[in-house]
Amino acid sequence: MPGLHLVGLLKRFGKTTAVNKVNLEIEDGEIMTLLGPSGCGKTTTLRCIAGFLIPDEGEIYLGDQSMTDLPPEKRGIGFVFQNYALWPHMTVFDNLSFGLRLRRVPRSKIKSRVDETLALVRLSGFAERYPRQLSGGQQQRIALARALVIQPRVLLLDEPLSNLDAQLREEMRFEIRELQKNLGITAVYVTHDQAEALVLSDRIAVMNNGIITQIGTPEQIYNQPNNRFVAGFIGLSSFVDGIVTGLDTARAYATVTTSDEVAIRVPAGSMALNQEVTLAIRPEHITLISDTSAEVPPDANLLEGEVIRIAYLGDVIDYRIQVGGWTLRVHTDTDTHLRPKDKVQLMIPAERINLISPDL
Amino acid sequence: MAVAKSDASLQDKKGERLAWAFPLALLLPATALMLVLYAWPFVSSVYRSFLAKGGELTLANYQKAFELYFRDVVFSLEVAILSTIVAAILSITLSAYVRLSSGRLVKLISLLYRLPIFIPFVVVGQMMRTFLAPHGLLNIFLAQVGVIDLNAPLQLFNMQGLVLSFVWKQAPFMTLIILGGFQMIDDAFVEAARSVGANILQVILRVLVPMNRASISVAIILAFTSTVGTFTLPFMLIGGKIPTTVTVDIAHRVTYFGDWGVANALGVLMYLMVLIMAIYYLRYSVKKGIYEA
Repeated sequence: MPGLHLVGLLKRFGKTTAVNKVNLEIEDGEIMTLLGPSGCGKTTTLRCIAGFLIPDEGEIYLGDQSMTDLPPEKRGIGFVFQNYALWPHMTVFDNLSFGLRLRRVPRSKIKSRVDETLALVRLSGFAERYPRQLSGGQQQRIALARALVIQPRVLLLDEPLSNLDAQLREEMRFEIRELQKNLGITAVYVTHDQAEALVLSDRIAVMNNGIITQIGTPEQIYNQPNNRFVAGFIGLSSFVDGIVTGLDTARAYATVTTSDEVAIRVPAGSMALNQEVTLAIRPEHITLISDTSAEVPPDANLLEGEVIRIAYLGDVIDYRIQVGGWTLRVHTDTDTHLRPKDKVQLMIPAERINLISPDL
Repeated sequence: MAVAKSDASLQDKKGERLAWAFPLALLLPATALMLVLYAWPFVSSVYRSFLAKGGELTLANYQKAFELYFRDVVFSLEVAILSTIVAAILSITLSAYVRLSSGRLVKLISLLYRLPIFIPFVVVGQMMRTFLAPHGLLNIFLAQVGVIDLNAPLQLFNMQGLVLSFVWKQAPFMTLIILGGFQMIDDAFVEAARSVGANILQVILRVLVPMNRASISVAIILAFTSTVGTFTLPFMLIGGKIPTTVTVDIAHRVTYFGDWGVANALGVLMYLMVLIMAIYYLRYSVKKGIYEA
């Protein structure tokens, strides 16, 4: 199956630019997630790929073939909607066979294709039911089956799990990923749920204000966010602004000094002296040291701080610690018992600190 | 204390005993209105259709109605069925176009199509008399573009002209109802059909129309019953020519012969024509909700 390419895709609604010159290459058999807050342009991008919207500029290629001017029914895509959009006046069988009948597939083959696809989504025996007789999760699977039964060249999914309860949603993430891999189909998945994106994507394109701010594997996006938006949107991060005041090229570390003269050791990367940088630090990468005999790795930063706010989150405790003129969020296990105004020492391994450009 | 308690429970029991009467009391005004304004005239009209001039029970009125006006009963049905079918096709097409398109033309159309709804039948009749006349606007236009010869113009003060007039008047009203239904259908249902390969016509026939059966049925029933019962338009367009509609016959019987017996018999026949539709409508509205799960 061919890959999907978006070249300079631009879509305006009135004076608002919903998608701003997006370039994206989705490889054959890959599942790519468009992740971002509502209004970031992810659904508009998906609807342009489907042909439901006509882009103002740019091209959409499937393999070598341009799809930009094709109507939706000629694109060979499968689309799964957030609200499932199963036709209520048709049985499950009719919902699935509709696309096949339009393609003039022989009657005998329609039956076997529908049966196979229902088996694929583990709903064999539901063919004669109406959508209203199915639970939300079952309707979602039928919607997926309807998109797959026509053997589309690309599968597009628009927040398909957001109407399901939390437990089912978690289960379905794995099911969708497994199905997509088994079928080897190229897929684009739109969601605002970072956990969903991290679990089921080969790669994630994080979108904000109509542009893609970072593309990478889930690990890259989480561990090496390259801008403030990504670091803040996926997982939690504390941000610290500073200036590069020292470079230890031999050991590949740099020293960043904040405006209140706190020196922090970070990986050097491609930094230059006197460059302004923003550091992004994940709460789970900071350790609270109450015991002075604790072992501290040689390259770790040790900072002094004061507890200003405590939130119990069930699995962890979320502390806000004042360090100089800024705060850091720290997650610890629930055995830690600190109170507001307690003085603490924080340990942050240098390699766990992400450097992001302050202007993005 | 104990006395007060038993007093309260006594009152509770009294309240319970009267509880059944409360909903009935609420229904009473509406029921009374229905009985006085609808049921009584209807029953009395059916009863009188079986009365001879002397007051004795008879089937003569029906016999006479069939002998004199059977052709008109068929004609009335033909006109109503034909104009409802044409208006339905037209209004479904127009509704689908407005529902699935966008732009200024659609906005203009969705404003313009409503205008005929506000024009009374009698005005439509007057308009159509000039428009459809042998040397009226339509014939002159057709002669100008070379379709007909003005010496042999289209004769339209007959069934064709009547159907055309009814379609002109009813299609906008039907569009109003049907378009409302179409607009309740989420875009995703249409897009889902297109994504699996349906073209616009298939989307209309396989998704929009079946998902909107309820409002299409209502539009058809209302248009049909109103067409069957209209007097002014056929009276102005066809008048007493043969064949004409039952409504014209009823007016004729009453005005010229004071013959309420045959007029009532014809009224009952007309009622039977719409009864089939009424039964379907009532059954449908009770069953409704099937698809709204």
